[in-house]
Amino acid sequence: MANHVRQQLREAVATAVTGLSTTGSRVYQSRVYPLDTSSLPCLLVTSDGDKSEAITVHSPYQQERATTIRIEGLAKAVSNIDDTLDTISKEVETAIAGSSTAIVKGMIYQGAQIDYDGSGEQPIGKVTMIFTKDLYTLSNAPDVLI
Amino acid sequence: MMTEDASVFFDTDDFAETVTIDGVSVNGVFDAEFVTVDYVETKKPVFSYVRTDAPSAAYDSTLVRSGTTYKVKGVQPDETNMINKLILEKQ
Repeated sequence: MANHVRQQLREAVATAVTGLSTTGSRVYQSRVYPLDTSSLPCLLVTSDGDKSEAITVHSPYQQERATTIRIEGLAKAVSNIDDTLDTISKEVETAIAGSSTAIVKGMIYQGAQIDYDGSGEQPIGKVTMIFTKDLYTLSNAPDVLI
Repeated sequence: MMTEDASVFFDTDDFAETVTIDGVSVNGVFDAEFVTVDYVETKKPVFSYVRTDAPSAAYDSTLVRSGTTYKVKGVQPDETNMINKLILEKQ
């Protein structure tokens, strides 16, 4: 049995954004615990869940799952941190749009939120990018894309 | 108004150390507690000293401690106006 399609999407997205110029291999999925400053700049890839809608009637019915993936880019610097966050955004958006992996293709960029915090020894900036993808499954097989 | 000699709190034989602020040697207490900012564990460096030892310390002043340079990003006098706490940014 394959993994749930949400997991398949999250892992495929993480793979697609691994090795980018700014964040390199520092890509963490569903991160809960704090990072050390030496781990920056980095990307955090998290599935925010999905919204499902039945598109057929009889069981097992077909589902359209609007699945949300959140990618957070984190960086620290004493200057030009805004430029770094925008560069991270450019690299991530380009990688997602250019991915040849079927489950990643067609992901929709919904927008980004940028935040700064100066309460540490150096300013830390975060860009939170939201992507969505409609995934189709049968109700009794959430691990198989149709 | 308080007139006590606050320098006794910043004796280098105890917890204080000597740094330079804009090139002037100043005794005070450096502290850097851990803080978590947006998933990132980092430190929050501050330096407290007798205000009259470096009365011109201000935003963007330079503090050097053991070879590490910081920029002042905040100046917080205490209620007596005798002690300053500097909020620092590591360079």
